[in-house]
Amino acid sequence: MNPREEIKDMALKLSQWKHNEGYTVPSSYFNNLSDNVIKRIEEGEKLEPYFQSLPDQVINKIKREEKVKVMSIRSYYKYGVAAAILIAAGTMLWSSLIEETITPAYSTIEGSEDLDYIVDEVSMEDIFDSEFIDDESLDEIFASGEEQIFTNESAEDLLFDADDELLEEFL
Amino acid sequence: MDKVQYSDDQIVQQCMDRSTRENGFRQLMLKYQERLYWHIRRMVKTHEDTDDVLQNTFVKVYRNLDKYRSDAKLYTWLYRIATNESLNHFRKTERNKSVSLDDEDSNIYSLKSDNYFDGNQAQIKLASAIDTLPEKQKIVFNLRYYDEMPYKDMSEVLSTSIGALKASYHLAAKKIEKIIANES
Repeated sequence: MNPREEIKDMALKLSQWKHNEGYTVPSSYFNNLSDNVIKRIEEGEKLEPYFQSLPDQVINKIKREEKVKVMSIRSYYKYGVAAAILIAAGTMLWSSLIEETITPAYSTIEGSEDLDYIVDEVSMEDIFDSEFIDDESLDEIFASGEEQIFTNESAEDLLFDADDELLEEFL
Repeated sequence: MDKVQYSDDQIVQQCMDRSTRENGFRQLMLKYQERLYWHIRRMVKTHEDTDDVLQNTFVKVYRNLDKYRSDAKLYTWLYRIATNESLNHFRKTERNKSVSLDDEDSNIYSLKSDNYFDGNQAQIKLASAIDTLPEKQKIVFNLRYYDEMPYKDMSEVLSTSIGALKASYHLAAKKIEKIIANES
């Protein structure tokens, strides 16, 4: 239905009102409007390149940083693996060397009980008679007080059968 | 600028080609600036606000030319953008408005104080009666009563069914008629 006929049917009074609404427009407003809009668009476009390219720049920067991180993690990983291999190899070599040097000692002295036994078995006579201990070493033992190690027997016991002359000569 | 009236298809064709875009866009503005101006003016009332909203509308149209689909009519697409811009403006000003007068008095006051309004008392009454309608019903009424737009096109502009638009317009016209009758 035609809009004018339609309004007559619906609202007769309203249909009789003129469509002039009383609004006016500045003279030559419509002549300049398109120029004003184009000017606004151009001004906006001058500002836009920065903002238009900004998201791309940010994304590129993020990608670059991610690439650097990935590269560094990969290189660290390589170095880490290499270091781990070297450390493992070094540890094995070191432990084998240590075994070589320590094993003979532990093979003869297996525990403190054995050591005590050996020490208990060694008497001052053995020391004095030992051809492997020279007089100088013996002096050092007594000077350092280490003779206490061998003091399972009392001094009287040790000197029980000592010849007085020899003892005087020794002292 | 030549005053040759281009068809919508010719305008769209020029606008889609970057080398002729500015000329096509100027043609588009020349063809539709007055219709859109009055459509916006009825909603935002003052000339200054209308100018602002209309320029925003055209800037938005220019920036979205690539998104225009030829299955829609050019003018309904333009009306749609203008309507949205008007509603955005209307909501912004409503938010900022300090309420010292009731809505009807406020609208009469703004009309009377507008340098570009020289309507008589009857025209102020009509404008005030239309202002009593809810926002969207006001747009329906304006599009049909002033622009005489077919319901089918209104349906494209407002994304509403034709039946709903007819009902809305019918109720709006009755309400305004009643207000006018009471006041006269």
